[in-house]
Amino acid sequence: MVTTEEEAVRAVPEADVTPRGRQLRTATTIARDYGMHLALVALIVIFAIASPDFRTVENLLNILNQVAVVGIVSVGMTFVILTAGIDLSVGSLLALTSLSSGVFAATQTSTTGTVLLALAVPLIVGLVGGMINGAIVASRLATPLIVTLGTLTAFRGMAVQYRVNPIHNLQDWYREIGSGRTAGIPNGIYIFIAIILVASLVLNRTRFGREVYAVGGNEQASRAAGINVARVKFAVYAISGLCVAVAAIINTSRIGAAQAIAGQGLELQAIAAVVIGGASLFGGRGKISNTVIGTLILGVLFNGLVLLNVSSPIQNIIIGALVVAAVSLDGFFRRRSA
Amino acid sequence: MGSGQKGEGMTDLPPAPPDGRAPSGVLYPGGPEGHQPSSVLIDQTAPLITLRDVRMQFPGVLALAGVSLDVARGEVLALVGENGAGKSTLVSILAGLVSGYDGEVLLDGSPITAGSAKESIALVQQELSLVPEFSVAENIMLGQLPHGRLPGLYDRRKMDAEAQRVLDILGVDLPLRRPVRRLSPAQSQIVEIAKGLARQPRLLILDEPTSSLTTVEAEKLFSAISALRECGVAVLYISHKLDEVLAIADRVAVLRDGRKVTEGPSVEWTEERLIRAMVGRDLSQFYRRTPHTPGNVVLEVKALRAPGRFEDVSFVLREGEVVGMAGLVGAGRTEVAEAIFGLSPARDGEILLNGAPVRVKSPRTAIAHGMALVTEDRRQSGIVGSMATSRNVSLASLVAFSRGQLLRRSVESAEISRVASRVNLARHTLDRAIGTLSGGNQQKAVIAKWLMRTPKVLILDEPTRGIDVGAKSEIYRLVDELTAAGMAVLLISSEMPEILGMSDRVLVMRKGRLVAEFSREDATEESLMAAASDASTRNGERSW
Amino acid sequence: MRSNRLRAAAKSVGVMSLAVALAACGSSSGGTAAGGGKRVKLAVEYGALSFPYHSALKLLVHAKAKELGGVSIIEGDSNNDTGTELANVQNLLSQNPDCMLLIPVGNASSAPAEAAQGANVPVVSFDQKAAGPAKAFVGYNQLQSGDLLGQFIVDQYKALNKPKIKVIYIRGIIGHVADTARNQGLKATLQKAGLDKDKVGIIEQSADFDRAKAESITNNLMRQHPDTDIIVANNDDMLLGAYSATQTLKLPTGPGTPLHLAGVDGVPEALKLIGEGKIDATMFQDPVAEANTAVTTCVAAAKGEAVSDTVLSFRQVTKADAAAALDSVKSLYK
Repeated sequence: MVTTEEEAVRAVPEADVTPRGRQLRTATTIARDYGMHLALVALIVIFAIASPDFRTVENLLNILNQVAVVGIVSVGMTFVILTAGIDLSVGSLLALTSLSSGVFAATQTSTTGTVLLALAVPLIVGLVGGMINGAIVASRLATPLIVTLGTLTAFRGMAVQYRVNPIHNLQDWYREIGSGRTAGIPNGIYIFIAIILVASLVLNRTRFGREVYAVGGNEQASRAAGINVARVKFAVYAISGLCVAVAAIINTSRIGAAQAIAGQGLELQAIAAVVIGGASLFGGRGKISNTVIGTLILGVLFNGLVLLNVSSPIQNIIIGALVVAAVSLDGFFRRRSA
Repeated sequence: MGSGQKGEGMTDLPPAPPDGRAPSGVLYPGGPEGHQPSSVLIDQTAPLITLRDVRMQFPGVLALAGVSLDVARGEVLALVGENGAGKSTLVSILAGLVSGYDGEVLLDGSPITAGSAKESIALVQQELSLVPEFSVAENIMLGQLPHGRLPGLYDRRKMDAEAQRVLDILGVDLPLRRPVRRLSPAQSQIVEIAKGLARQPRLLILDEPTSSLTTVEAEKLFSAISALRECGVAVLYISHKLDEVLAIADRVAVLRDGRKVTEGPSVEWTEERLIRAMVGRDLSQFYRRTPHTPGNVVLEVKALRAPGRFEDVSFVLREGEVVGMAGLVGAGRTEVAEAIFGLSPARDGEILLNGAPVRVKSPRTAIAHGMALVTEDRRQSGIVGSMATSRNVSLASLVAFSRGQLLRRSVESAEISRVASRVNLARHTLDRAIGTLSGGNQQKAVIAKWLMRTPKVLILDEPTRGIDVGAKSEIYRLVDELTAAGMAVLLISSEMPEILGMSDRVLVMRKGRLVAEFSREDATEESLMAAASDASTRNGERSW
Repeated sequence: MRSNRLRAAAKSVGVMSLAVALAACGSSSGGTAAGGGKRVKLAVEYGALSFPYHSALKLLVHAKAKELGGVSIIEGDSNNDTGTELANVQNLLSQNPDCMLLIPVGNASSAPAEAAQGANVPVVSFDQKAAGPAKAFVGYNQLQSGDLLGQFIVDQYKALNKPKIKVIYIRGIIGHVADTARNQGLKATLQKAGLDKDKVGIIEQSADFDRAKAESITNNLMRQHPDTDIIVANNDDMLLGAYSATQTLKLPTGPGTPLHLAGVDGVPEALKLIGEGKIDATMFQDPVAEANTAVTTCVAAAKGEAVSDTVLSFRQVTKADAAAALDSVKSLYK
């Protein structure tokens, strides 16, 4: 079909395009490129009509703040998925980085040194965790699925081995990161937006970003074009690990405790957000902005359903069905237009 | 490319039964109409397929602007035209792959349906549709595996026997139980054709069937087509190789811009006239080679060796020179190119660039040393299909456009425009995903990608495979211009006219070794073929 | 140290059956129950050692075994997975233990207990009732913790003296044994007290026993229902998530404020906040009494003695006795 469209495009000059054809094409293109945006808007409208509590500025800020943790992990996951990889270890790594942050943020000790450690150590742990994934994947000894399935188990084991009981009594300044506000807006939102901007910049404006798309689109061709494929793969897992660490700090701060059981199932939420955003699990296709839309769809759904007092099993049915529907619809439009 | 396994299969399989059974009797007992009871009532002189004013509107564009065409029983009709002329759309309609067209398509005088198309028409396409893990026989018989004694099982022996019968018609031997992933591209292509044939169609559509076949292999396909014609099967043959078309077809129809421009018996056509009809203009000179004296040696390869792939390969490449590399599929030409470019480095030997030895461990080092490779398999290793054409073009030169990691996008797009116009790549193609472009435009973009780096050595591996006449001639023009500016080109091709028309010197490889070198004057189709296939070849050895 | 802990245990277990009290005292005074005879090999299978409570039980089981003397321990961790559970139990059985303490992952699969029976190893189901043939059960009555949560609401209703109060009820994984029992207990108690929908409005959401999810849910619901009087949760971890959300929203909580909080378990973090007056109450389950009784019961079963169920009761801990309760468990949650 690919050649067919190309033939079609070349067969007639633009002027010959019939109005009907143009309308059809435009509608399909919009549905394909902005389907997820429309879905998000539709959800917001539905919930705003159904629940007065939904349509307040406070609640919308609340949603943004709540999605920050999953959102930041999803941003990191986007890099990985763009290279046709997957990172299943994010939930376990979140627990590990949480503990490594919490241990320095607990009240017994409170110096500038511990402040720095509470922020820096988790970032290092996250980075190293991601680099372990990246090094094995880049070596091509095992597929990303298997590698990160292994580290999912191993990182969780390390976290539980290190400490079963939650670390609480976190210092006040630390609690501010996730639950405080600046100029009336929750701090988590600032961090989320900063991560989004940096990630978009890296993907769209840097050589590395271009190489990420290329490697995901066609690894062999990228290698033949002189791209260091192994280095790109290594780097995306390191980025994912770093994002997990940032998310872990916000999460730990918000719930006021570092737990070895934190982040269970986080990997599935992050993958769902990326895929709802229209990224291809086969690599090469996806955008940070779309991942954010995917995260927001999940966040709005959760918030709206809670406000409508929908019971948890029903929530799960609705969210699951919508994930499948969103992705199928995307596939449908893509097939129509490709 | 897996062609290293060439020939192995022959040894572990007994030769085809030498009983010389007539193909017609085997595959079509009583002819193709014999198993169609309804055909008794059908006028056998009426066309098998009739198209009447078929129009196809895709969202926004008109792919077919009213085509009328007949395909008679037992005729070989060639369909030619540039990429974008509407051939693929036409074929897709016939094969029942697309619907929603205007006009009439009749099969045996009644409107074609998805069901009747499936029953009577088999389509063999360029893009391979085989299951890599399945065996040759399983792939050939896929969709009609003979039932076994237990429900849900299939009869393996019967399957093998029937697959073998189809291969006999094609006159080739393939190891039936070998998984397709271990076959060479040429062997896979044969399996693809056999698969179409196994369905005992009344119309067999072959879309560029010889694009990865060598001359010898193609010859066998042609005799198989002749045999099919004898037993009343109609063949719709689509190819860019006009010499083939004229040799095999009874009639030729030319499509251009979604319209049928002309048609007629193939005896009335010449290649030149066909080209003129296809492109709507004269191509004064197809192969362009301006003679000039070669300069210094740029690339020297000394005793390059990669066990199992090639042995003791030595040659030189001079500035401004086009060196052709001929040989059968699987002779090791691609492997040599990949070794020089660092995709799969050789084990022993030396590579010298401008007289200095270099260690090429990866394409990155090769590129840094001023080499470029247009790979044989464009989709697999030449393009990133999901990326915009423009980004494919700049992919190998990103460092040049960045300050640190940050891309300077204005510099990048200026440079893209420059090389795009150099290879005559239309502006509107630049923003589109390269995977949606025609083969010709894709190839131009791939070449543009390398021109951006102004390489000293350009290796072209089957650069015109599956691309249209217009793009082909542009690529030849480009090669001529580049060499005039001092670039050295190594041209690997299975198309004899291309090798002969473009090369200053020709190297011939056979079974992993360089066996002959000809000057432009001494090289003829016969001399090259003789060297490539080796007169002393034993019976068991074939080109696949 | 040892007697300290036991004293604390004896004090903390409120409505303890006489049999348990005797068993506990017997072991504390003697320490020779197992000393005289042959060595006893005890197999212990934990539901998930990543759960702090199970981890605490493990420490206590080891301490008790050491105290008794002559008791060796082999153990496994089901990792909250029934498949792992069965495999671990089979592995443990192949080492010929004399008795098995089993904390089942769920109460549905009878295979682990049947496997033990097949190997002629007596099973004492521990903390949660296992399906299948067990000699005895040592653990808490989960339904009763729900009763206490319900009673907490009833008491608050009376104290608040309003015609109608609003309660946010955060549940665990729907279908989980403890969640089901606590939910039943809570609803039954409210019904018995005659508190219907018109008197107590319950907004119910599941946070899957996950602290972060409880935080989000509370954050959402407290904005929608700022007039909420009570938040109860089916475990302390979720209650702590809810507490965290109230802090973010800068809502005062605890006795004497408009918002009252209560949970189940008695984890140190919650006990500490109760002591500080930020949380009203938790339904405390004391791991000390539970682990000690489990070990003595299993040792008795190993010797072929007749054993019976010991069903312990939760006890509501409020500000008054929070310090003592915290003291008793502090060392277990390190």
